[in-house]
Order: sequence, then C-alpha cells, then structure tokens
Amino acid sequence: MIELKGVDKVYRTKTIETTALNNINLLIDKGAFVSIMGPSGCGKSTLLNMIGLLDAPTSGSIAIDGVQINAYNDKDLAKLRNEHIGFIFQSFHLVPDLSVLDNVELPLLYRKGMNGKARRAKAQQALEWVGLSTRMKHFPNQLSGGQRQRVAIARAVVGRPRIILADEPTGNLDSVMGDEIMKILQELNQENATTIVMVTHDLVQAEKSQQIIRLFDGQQVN
Amino acid sequence: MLKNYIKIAIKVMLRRKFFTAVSLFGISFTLLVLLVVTAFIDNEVGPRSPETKVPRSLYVVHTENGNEKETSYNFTSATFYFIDNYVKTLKTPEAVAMYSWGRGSTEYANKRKLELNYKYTDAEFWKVFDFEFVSGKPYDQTHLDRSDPVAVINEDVAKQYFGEIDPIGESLEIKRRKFKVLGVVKDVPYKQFTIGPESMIWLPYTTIVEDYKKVELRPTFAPGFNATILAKSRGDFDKIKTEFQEQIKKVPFTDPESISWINSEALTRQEVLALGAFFTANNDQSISKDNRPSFSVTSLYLWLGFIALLFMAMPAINLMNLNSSRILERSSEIGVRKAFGASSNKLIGQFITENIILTLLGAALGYGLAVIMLDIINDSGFIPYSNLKINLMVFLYGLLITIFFGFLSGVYPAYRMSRLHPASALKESGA
Repeated sequence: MIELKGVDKVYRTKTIETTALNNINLLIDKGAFVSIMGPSGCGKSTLLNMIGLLDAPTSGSIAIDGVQINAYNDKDLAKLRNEHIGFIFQSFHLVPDLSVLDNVELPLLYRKGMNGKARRAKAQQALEWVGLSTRMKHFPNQLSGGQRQRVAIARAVVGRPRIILADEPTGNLDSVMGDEIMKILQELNQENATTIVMVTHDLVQAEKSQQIIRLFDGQQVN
Repeated sequence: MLKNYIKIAIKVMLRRKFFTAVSLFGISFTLLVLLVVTAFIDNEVGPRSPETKVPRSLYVVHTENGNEKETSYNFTSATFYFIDNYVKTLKTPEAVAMYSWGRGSTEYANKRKLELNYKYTDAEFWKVFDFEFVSGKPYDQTHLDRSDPVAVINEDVAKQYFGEIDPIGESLEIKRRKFKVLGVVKDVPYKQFTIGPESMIWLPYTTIVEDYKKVELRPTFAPGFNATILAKSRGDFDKIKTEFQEQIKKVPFTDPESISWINSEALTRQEVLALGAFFTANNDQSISKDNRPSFSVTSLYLWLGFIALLFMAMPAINLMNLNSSRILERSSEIGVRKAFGASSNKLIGQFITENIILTLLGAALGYGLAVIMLDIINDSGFIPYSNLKINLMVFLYGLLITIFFGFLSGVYPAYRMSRLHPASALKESGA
C-alpha cells in the first residue's frame, strides 16, 4: 500500500550537495508494523518525512494505495495527510497554547463536514483510549513526558488514519514509559490493522515490529 | 474553525504580552491621532450649529491688493466698505451675512474680571447662521438702522456677567458703552484655523465707534469684515463666484500709488480651512506676491491623506516586522498543523485572522482613548466652548483602513509561515 521507487533526496546549498537518501525502494503492506533503523544522520527521519508526504523526493516516486502522489499540489497533499496519515514525533510537538483536548482535536479541524460537537466527542474518545480522560483541560507543560507522548498518540489516531508514522516515539522517554507507548502502538496495529512505520535507535523496540528496514548513509542495507 | 482561530489568537496575545502591548499601542495610538485630528477638522468645516448651512455657503475672508510697481503687496482681511459694496450687493445668493473679526475687551462684573470677545454683525447674520437661542431674540434691521446699542450674548457670558439674574433687558458694558441684552444663545465652539460666526457677544455693526464706512481697501482703524454668502443651492456657486469677480472689477482705485489692484475669492468652508492651514504652516513674513497663500483643498487633503496613510502604515510595518520574527517561534505549531492536514491557504487564513483580531482590539482601544482625549481637550479650555466629537464616519473609515493594514501586515508573514516546509518546521523543538 505504500510504495517508494528509486527515491533520492539531495539537499543543495550554494557550495555543498548532500545526499540524504539514495535509491530507496520500499513496499510496505497494509497493516504492517515496520521499523526503520540506522545510525544518526543516515536518513531515517528524511525517509519517514517522504513516506508522510512532509517532504518531496528529488527524484523517484511515491505511491499510496497505488496512486502516485508526485503530481499532488499543496492542498491535495494536505487532504491526503489529514485523512490517511497520523504522526507521532520524538519531541511530541504539542501546541503549547492549546489544551490537551484542543491539541487532540487539531487534525479534525481540517476535516470537512465535521462539527465542533463531533470533533470534541472524537477527541475525548481518543484521550480516554490513551488513559488521559482526566487531563483534557490541562496544558502540555502541565504533563509528564509520557503523558505528552500519549496526547500525541491520541492526536495521531483521532482521525482514524490508516497509517501512523512515528519518529522515535520513545526516544525522549524512560524505558517504562517507552514500553507503555510501544504497547499502545502494537495494540493499534493488531486491533485496528493500522499500518505503523516507526523510526527508532532502539533494537529492543524495533524487534517488536514485523519488519526492520536498515539505512546507512542514505542507502538501504540488508 | 474560526472559533479555534479566535481562541488561539487570544491565547497567543496573552502569552506574548510584550508583543501584544507594542502592537496594540501602535494601532490604538494611530487611530487615536486620526480621530482627534479629524475631530478638529470637523470642528472647522463640518456642518454644525450655527453653521448648519455650510454645504451651500461661501466665505469671503480675505483680499489681496497691491500696486502696479509691485512695491506693495498685502494679504489682508476685507473692509466694511468692500464687503458692503461688492459682496452684499450680489444678486444671485439667497442671503449674505457680514460680520467683523473678533475684538477683545476686559470688563469687571460680578466682582470678577472678564475677558470678553465681541463681533459686529448685520441683521442677516441671524438668518444665515442658525444660532440656538436660549432666551430673547436677535437684533434686526430696525435696530441697525437706529444704531441701537443692543447685544446678543452667549450662555457663558450670561452666567459670568449676570450670575443668576435674567440678562434679557439688562445692560452689558463693553469699552465703557452700555448695550442692552436682547438675546442669549448657546455657546459656540471657537475654530482654530478658520474664521466663523463664533464669539461671546454680537453687536450691530452700526454701533462701531470708528469710521467703519470709510472708503478703504485695507482695514486701518475700523475692524476687518468677513462675509458668508448663502447660495440657494450648491449649483449656484460658480454663478456667485463669477458675479463676485465681476463686482471686484468695479472697485475704483483712488490712490493707485498705494493700491491699483485687488483680488478676492468666495471660498468654500474647506478652502477657508486650506487657507488657515497655509497660514499655520507659513509665517507672515514669508507671504509675498511670489508666495501667495493657497486655498487648494485638493492639495491640503492630499497632504493630510498622505500623512494619515504614512502614519497608519507605520504600525502596520511594525506589526509585519514583529510577525515575521515570530515565525521561528511558532515553527513547531506550523509544522504540526501542516502535518495534520492544514493547507498553506488555511494557515494564511489563521495568521491573518489572528492579526485582524489584534487590529480590532487596537481599534477598540484607540476609540476609547480618543473619547477620553477629546473629553480632556473639551474640558481643558484649550478651544473656547469646544465640543469636539468623534466623527463616526471617520472612525468607520479608520477602522476599515486599520483592518486593511492589519490584513496587509499579516499577509506577508503568514505567507512566509505557510511556505515553511513542514519537515524543516518540525525540526524545531516542540512542547
């Protein structure tokens, strides 16, 4: 369902050209749980950004459900991300000015035909699922790291996306909290058949997934 | 969506208090100045009692004269002789009022020293201008014909001079002459740059002690005179102006060595203001035949408009600058919104909404400050009897311009924000 063919990503400045990804070919099936591993700076996050349509490849093609998205404009990409992809970031990226409930509601703001009441109900449901129903009116700075990441997971799943992209979701958490987050991701994958692509440095966590993709210097290694 | 934008706008404003304070100060101060300045202009030119017929009034407030050798050039007020013979005789207007420049007198009454201003007028003055009489009535042609020492006073003089006594029929002393009070009118705000009918006391011109009828084109001892020409309609303005110019051609010059030509114009209220603005901007010494006073309304309003626009653009530029510097601060939010489905246009909409809300708050604050400021000016006595008010039309225009600038100051930073690549925006640390 996610297919990358010959994807290259080259960053150019006036004097330097840096190849972040080189000829990546990937096929991630629907409902798969895939980990991307590799040393720092090998292109893991860049690859995740490509899959998440947050960045465009310099060359090569990306297809989701067989549909090439290379020709998509800003509006089409935004719609695709909103309806099909949820993101979880290492540093949470919660909006500090918004309450926990408002943060979780955020993706639904960009979904057509959903009123405030329905948005609220879905956000509450998502927060209940991650065990934070008592913290809805709190602000991100009033929560622990683990709680923040659970809010971020609630935000990622609130729109019922088919794909969750997690960029080192346990990277800023202790092992207990990390395990908790992994359990939630596994549950999401097994019970909802959500495709999960996770970037991690942690082999123990990576081994909990079904497939590991290894990168080195922007290239896929087996 | 809009509710969410408003919510986040308020939260952003509260979180960045200094930024909010600087922005609000810029916007509200601009609007405050705009409203106060236009209140002053309104006081000068707006149709307000007693000048309710301003839209169909023309004013003769000056003459230019000199000799052929160009050794003499004068820009002066008109004389009684000039107004009486060449303005009062116009056939086209509905009426012509004549009134002298103000004169001052120090009097003692009610155990108090009073600084009084008075003007001499004709009887038509009371028809051309709509004074609100509190009691009594104005003097008429019969009083003028008999040179009756009668007066109309304003409420302030009535109170200060007569205290609790009803002034009607009582005597008022001006320059050791007694005048019988015929009427009391409501106080009329004085003008700062232009000439009008306002005064504290009005007297029939036939009571002037000096030889006011003297055939002269420059006022010497007797007071200078002005005229307000009331046209039947604005459509008659050109006809009246032409007729006036024909009249001027008839002026004889008895002493060509001194005066061999004379010019004058019948001006609209705005042109009188433009003339007043010229005199405010230039000192008397700089006025000569080569630097003649201008009464071009277009250039005055162009200047005022230019200054106002510049003045209003400054906080917009400031806001634009501050907004741009906030991009990095909010890059994480921008990245997250983009990642979760916000298109660039939606983000532009959000940031512009935030700016417009800030601008509207600034406008409300500016309006409140202007009300307070005008109250202070009105109470200060800086302008006698001033009753400066906010011109609602100007406020609405000001509001529109402010929103426009709020929009402008938001567009560029919003555009830059929306262009931020989500991947690079997210590289910034989040909460």
